[in-house]
Amino acid sequence: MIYFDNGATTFPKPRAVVNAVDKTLRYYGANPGRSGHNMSLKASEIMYECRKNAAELFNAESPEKIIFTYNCTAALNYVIKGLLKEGDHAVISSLEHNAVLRPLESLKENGVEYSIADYSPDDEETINNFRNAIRPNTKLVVCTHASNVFGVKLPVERIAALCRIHGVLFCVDAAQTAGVVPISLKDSCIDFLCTAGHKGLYGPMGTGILVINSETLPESLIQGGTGSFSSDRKQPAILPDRYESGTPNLPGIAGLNEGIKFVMNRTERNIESYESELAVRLYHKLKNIPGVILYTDSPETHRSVPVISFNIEGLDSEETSEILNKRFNIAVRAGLHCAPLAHEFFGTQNSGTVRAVLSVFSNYEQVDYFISSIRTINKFKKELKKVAIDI
Amino acid sequence: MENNLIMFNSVTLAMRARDILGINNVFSRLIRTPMNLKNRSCGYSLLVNSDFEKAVEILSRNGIAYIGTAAVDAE
Repeated sequence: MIYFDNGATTFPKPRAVVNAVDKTLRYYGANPGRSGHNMSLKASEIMYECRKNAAELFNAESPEKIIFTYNCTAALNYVIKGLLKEGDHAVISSLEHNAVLRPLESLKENGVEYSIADYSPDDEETINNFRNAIRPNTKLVVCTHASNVFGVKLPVERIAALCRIHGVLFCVDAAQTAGVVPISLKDSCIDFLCTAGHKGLYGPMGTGILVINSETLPESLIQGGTGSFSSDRKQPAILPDRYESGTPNLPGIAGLNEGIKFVMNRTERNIESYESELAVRLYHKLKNIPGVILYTDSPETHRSVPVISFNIEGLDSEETSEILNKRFNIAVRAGLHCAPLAHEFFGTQNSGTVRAVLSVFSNYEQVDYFISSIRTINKFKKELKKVAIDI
Repeated sequence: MENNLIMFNSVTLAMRARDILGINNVFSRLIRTPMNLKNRSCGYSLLVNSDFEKAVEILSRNGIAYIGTAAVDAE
């Protein structure tokens, strides 16, 4: 099977990731940060090592600033709901995922408002749109580093600087960029970085990271046992305990640790360069097929991550995906990708798109097979349309 | 008995302190803070059997917050 659904979660995972999960469950399955016996201390060491490596990867201030969450959505919720109160205003981009949109929509009931600043291929225009959306009561700007549907990047460092000038906190959704694009929080005006552990960081599902790069801390949304301050009825204020109540996903974090080491060994620059080469090849070959619709410019590294959305004229995006799956054993994701705002912006809210996302495990042969499959589908679309609805 | 224990509120901070001491050639061992020393807290401590004053000075210099020091029988 050819797996180009790496935007949802990367597959396969590096062998070291699989082995770490297995080893943890077999040998180190104690509760970390709770007890003093050797197995619990070993479990704590695994978590700490992962914090250290994540802090190094993102150039964060210290390991305590790395908060483990269950996914990027949880990390974003921690920031958005932990910061915004009645009367506050937030600004988001027109490319946001529901992980940003839905928490804000739910906060409307609590008197929180938000505005949408349009993305533009022209960075100047994007910055102006953000500048114009900021109000006196704007407390937070949240935006994706790169669209999970179209791959286009937002100029997050410039938006971060704009936020700092206006005294507004800035949170970046790096679900599609962490592990692919170098991110350094040192000397950056980004206050909060949220990411999944199971995408470009190659960890298991059920892992995510929130990196705190601000003196202003969101309130904790979940309170409970932390293994610290046990006789205190209030949630500890110290990091990472403030946000990490209850037993953590130790096997997942052990795997994530190996995933981060995998990325650090290869370096994000090399990963980005390799995946971009594949993506550019895929894009241009798709562009040469009459009847294939593309929505962005070529995915060059400075403008995009290796995420390509397209459609075949005369076929619904889900039909194309289904034919790829059934006839060609290729896994992609079609539809709206939990990002209706991005589809509205690109005018694909009714059709959805077929999304192909590459990983370090993708290769040229797979790209070429994918292209030949698309050519075949395009040529025989009337006949193959039936395949999509066959039981 | 002289002080040989540095107490922390979190295992993460205790481990970071241990790493910083290690870089400075001060050996320490992570243990659970003895119950009789706990001050409204579950926590972890570093047992430092030599260079204790140096250890405390290194942590202060690196901005590592600890909640106290104590003496325990390390045997």
